[in-house]
Amino acid sequence: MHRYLRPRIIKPVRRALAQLAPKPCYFPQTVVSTLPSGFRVATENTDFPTATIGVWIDAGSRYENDLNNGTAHFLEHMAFKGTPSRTRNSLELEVENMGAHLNAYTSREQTVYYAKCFSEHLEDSVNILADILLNSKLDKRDIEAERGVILREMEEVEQNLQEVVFDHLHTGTFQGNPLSMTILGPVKNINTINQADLKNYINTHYRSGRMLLAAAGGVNHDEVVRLAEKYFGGLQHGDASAEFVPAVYTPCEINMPIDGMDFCYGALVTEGVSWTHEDNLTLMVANTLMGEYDRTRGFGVNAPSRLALKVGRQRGVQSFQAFNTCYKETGLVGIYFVVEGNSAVQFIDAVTEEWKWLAENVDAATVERAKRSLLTNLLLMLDGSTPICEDIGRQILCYGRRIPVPELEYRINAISVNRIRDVCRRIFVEGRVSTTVVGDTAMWPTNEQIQAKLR
Amino acid sequence: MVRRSWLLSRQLKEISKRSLSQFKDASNVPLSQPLDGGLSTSAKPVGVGKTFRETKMTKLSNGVRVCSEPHFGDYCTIGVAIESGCRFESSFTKGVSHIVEKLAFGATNRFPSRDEIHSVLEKSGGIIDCQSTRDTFLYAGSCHVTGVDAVVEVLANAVWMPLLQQDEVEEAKMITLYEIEDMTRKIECEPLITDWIHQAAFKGNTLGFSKFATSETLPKITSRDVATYLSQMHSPPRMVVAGIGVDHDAFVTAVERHFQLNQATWNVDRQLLLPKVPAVDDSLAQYTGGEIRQGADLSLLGVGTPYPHLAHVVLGFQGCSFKDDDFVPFCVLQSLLGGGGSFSAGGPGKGMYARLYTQVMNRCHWIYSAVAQNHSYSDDGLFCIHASCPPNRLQDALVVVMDQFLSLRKGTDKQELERAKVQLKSHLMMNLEVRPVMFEDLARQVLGHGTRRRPDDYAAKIENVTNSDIIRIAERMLATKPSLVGYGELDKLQTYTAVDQAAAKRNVEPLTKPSKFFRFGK
Repeated sequence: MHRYLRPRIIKPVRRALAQLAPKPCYFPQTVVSTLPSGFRVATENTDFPTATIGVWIDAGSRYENDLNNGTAHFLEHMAFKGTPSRTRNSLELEVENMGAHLNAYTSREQTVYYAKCFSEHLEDSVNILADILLNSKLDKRDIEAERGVILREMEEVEQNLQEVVFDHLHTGTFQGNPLSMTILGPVKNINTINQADLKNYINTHYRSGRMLLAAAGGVNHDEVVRLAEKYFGGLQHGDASAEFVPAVYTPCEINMPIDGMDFCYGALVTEGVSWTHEDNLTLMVANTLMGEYDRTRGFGVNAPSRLALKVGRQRGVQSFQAFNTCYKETGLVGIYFVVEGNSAVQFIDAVTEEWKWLAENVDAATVERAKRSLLTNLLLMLDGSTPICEDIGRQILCYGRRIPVPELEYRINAISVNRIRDVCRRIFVEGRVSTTVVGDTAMWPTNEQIQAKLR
Repeated sequence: MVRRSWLLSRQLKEISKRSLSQFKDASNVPLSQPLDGGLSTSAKPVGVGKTFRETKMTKLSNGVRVCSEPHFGDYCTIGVAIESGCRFESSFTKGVSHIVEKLAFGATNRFPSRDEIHSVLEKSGGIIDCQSTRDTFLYAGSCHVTGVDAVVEVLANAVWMPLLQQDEVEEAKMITLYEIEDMTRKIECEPLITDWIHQAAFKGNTLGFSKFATSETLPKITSRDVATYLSQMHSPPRMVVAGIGVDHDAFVTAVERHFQLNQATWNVDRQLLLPKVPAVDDSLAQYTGGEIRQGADLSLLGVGTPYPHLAHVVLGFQGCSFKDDDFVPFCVLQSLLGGGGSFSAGGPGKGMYARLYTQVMNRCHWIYSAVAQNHSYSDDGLFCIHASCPPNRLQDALVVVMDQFLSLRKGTDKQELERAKVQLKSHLMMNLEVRPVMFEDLARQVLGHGTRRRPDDYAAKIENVTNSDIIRIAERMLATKPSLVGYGELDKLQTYTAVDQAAAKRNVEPLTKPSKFFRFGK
């Protein structure tokens, strides 16, 4: 056991701090098992009376094609409509009567269904999850009725300009690859996807090697393994490799003026890195340094970034947020923003200056603060069974394992200022920019002009 | 060179003998590849099991109570809960507690500006926040366990050592003015509605004082008002310092060192106080019932949002204190009525079979939202239902809501009651999964009851609630004067007298027949 000697030699004022530290922290372990079928089970017991348990599937819109794009999302809508053994009504009542919650979401790479429940209802929850995933009725009348619901959802998405910008950004940067397609799919597909398409999707994608049962909270690993065998034992074998088509980043320049709009909504990005890439965490630190800002919220009690301070003093920048989106083989890293049209150039100047500062001049003390702040954000988020379970599910699909918290802390702490500069130079300054702007875009410069600012 | 947290340097020492060379640059190892050697987690629980949520409590010599519970991981939530808020404002300038909230984490001698606090928080991996309700202030922070001492110092400074400089107070007043003006421009009006229903229910006393300063009261508030208020409210017997995920002894040491009463701003300089320092209002809340009508044109609030043009009605009756034997039945009743908005996201489990959905929103499609609320305080409470709908149907919404109260006298069937109880239990337990809620629960329990009441005890009490409890508390409520709030275009809303008669007669009829007192226009 480690002995902690410092308290004896430091000044009294530091004593309490030193006394706090000696007790080693207990981090619950994520235990992972793989069934002979390749189906994985991952649990983390935090000893709560409640738990989150869910199925993470290596499937999403990137495994679709032009003809069936939107199927994964359509299936999610059909999941709560009933199975041969549960009508929609009895499914809802069963969940409500045990005080549980069911939820589902679909992204470009992942499909997730999970339940939050009392620990004593884990088996009921897995039973329900397996039933709605594998045995949904997919009634033809329900399918017809759901088209309207999805089309209304699409209208809502189209009102949300952040979603519009990101959809166009993917269309442009990953053209020719399924990663360019939207999650909802085109109207044509929403109107034509039928029962056979949905069944075919399940048969193709819900394979043992692409799925995982993740659980956190009051959970017992052996018990969850037993439930996985009992309810997911009959899955067809197979993994995602046959469906996977690697995407190639191609710089794009999309400018969609809309008359009468007050703001220019857009994204300025370069090619980022994949989930597993060694520079992923470094880019997260860099993005922490870029930060975020929202004029309607002001600065608040927590420290704003350099860029936030700069644009907060200027007029015309409504909000911005640095982001780092990863996929299996590539990524998009950059900034989403809402600015007044005639402030666009000033804003780009500020962003490109910041990228150059990261690549050339950022200092060690600033990097240390950003690392601390990133760790704080990452670890404060891991509170409660649902965020922990989501982290486990996502990480196992993305990294093939769960990164232990101490390793994550170690890795972030190990990032040096030179590393930040080096990665930011390669990714931002020497990267090829892509832009997507919507709204009041008249003053928006060309990619070439932006690229010149980075030189 | 990279500065490491204590924890990591410890782990580094453990692994250094074996495989340090591998770590020379962890930044070159893909995330899919584990870094071996001491960086994994252990399956062996420490402090987990029966003792996992064991509460430790210590009373300091100055009277401050310190309590804590262990938690896994290296982040913790710590803070101070104080019996303070608008309900205690009777002999102070009204609105002073609103300014106190805005002044939280301002300048102190130790931290002359936000920059110094930011710097401490960055080093400690921390965030801080101040929130208040009518009877409690919470100053709290979440941080890395190595930052506990530093964040306790920030908290102690915020609670006892604010400088309350003139310009800070003026700035807080400006922000407050903006906030109260902005509230009336927002489509989300829950804070205003909740404030008004309290004003109606406890007219002119304690819980009925507004949580918000007004443009009339604001100019009267000076730094001496604030100092005087704080000197009375922020006294040790009214405070609990609590921590989740901290080592109790070290936490107590830190609190003891930083919470020095003789260094409190008002003890260092008595000149900061008003010439006459009023005593704390310890009177019990007096439930009066009554109405607040806020006629307003809300037609433009929904433009550009998915919201339609709405008007609001709230109907409530006297509830109970959280010390009352009926407290848990009232919580079950709230779960039984449930409610929410007509739009919903997510799958099953959101309480879609609660009464305000099955009997109100699923039947009256014109009702936009209906929610039951149970407000409980140390000495009294208020139970109400808030509904919103297009203004021309507001009167109908009032009838529907009154009918919901009256129908409670018929009781509930077993399945419905069981569902309400299970959902209340799961709501309680699931909320208690996260540290900030555990902190608030612990601190409020000790502040309100003097001891820690276990979530399991509440679960057992929920289990014991019966149909006759529901009928009894329904009658208990209906025997009190109604409290009514209307907000928006109110020309269709019945008179208070009719509402009172309907409750007294246990019949909606006085509400449905045209009244000669019927109000037109505003």
